[in-house]
Amino acid sequence: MSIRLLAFGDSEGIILISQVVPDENLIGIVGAEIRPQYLEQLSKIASNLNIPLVVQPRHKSPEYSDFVAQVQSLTPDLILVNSYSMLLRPDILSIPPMDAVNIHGALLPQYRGCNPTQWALLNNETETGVTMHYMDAKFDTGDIIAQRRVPILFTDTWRDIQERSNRAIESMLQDEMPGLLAGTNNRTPQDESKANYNKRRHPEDGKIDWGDSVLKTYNLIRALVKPHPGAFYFKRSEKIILDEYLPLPQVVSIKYKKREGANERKKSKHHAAET
Amino acid sequence: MRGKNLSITPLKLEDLPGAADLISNPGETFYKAQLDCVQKDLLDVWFKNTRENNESLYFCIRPAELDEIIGICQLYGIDHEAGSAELFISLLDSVSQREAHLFESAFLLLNFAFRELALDQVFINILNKYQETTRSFCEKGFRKVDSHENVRIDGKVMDVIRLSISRSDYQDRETF
Repeated sequence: MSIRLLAFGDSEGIILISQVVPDENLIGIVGAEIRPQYLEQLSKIASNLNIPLVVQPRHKSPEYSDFVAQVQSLTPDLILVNSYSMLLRPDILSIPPMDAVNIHGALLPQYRGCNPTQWALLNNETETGVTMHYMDAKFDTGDIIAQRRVPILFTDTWRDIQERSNRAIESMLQDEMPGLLAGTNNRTPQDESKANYNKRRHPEDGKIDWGDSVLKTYNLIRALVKPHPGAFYFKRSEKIILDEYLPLPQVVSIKYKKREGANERKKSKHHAAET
Repeated sequence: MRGKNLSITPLKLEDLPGAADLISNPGETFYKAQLDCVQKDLLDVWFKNTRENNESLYFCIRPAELDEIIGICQLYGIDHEAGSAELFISLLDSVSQREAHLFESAFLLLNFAFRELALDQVFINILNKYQETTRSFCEKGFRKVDSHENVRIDGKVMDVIRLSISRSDYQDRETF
């Protein structure tokens, strides 16, 4: 009997899954209501594969129970999640008899939680990775199936790392999918003593503190380039957004130009007071 | 970045006329410079390239409160993965208190390297004939890391001493 796999993800995540999972195994796609920008493309992918697209509403929404019923009616054996932004609750996780598997953009148990690539850059890491793991009631805590290491170069933005991570995910899925579908894959518990968790980042977290080191500011900028909202600062009342990669010498120049400007203003105030 | 008598600021386009000689022809200095000789008519192009290069940062040295450029200094060969860089300073020959300015510039540049870039180690290369300078740097926390090395500078073979200072050695000293 063919294993029935239900895939959760944004368009990029689902494309990766659909490239690796045999068509006869993929029975449906789930997209997140809170990321409407991906739904049109997900709909096209579902239509091309001749499978249904289901949209997960917010948990408090009156439509949530319908969503659970829709997932149940698809009778998935296995759920596979890649690049998805909503929590899967026990009422969904308990449906597939072969459990639910997530792909996380970090080397678990480190960098559990949201925005792992951004946090790795902000922490000046030189390596990150991807992890395929079983899902349980908490975020990113389930048993590990497989991992791949991904280097971070000094000139990388988060987009470069994501691109490299996607290639690693593709290779990991190709290697692991046969074992996953056969139920013969590895299953290693995470080492809780090495775990850390990061919170979701918000646009206002991109504000540059010029008291921080140049390196920290450089990392903040490359962690938030387009299509993220960018790092920013205020020049008098004007908001200056840095949403493209800036080489280190240019970050140094901006920081010290601001300092010189502040010193000049102090000097001219002092001079005005004297006269 | 301000010291007692000097300030160092990132090299700007408008600094090029004043810094051109130091950039184009640093001459024989205390150090084996990364002799980045630039033709004057190509300074603009050279400057544009420096703005894209994460491995090298240039600064102008000025007396505090004055606009006149008396030297340039540079962190080059910045290896962010290894956490290291090379230090280079070139002061105009006419500068009085040359030795004092040399060490103050080095202090400001090391401050930048360790605090702003979180580097772990900075190297300098000194021509062996300047033994007094080498001794002074060692008194300030630098250590000899290599045996002598012969390098060719302007067609001449010169004996060079390589020194380094680690972040912890630098922090332990607090003053320079």
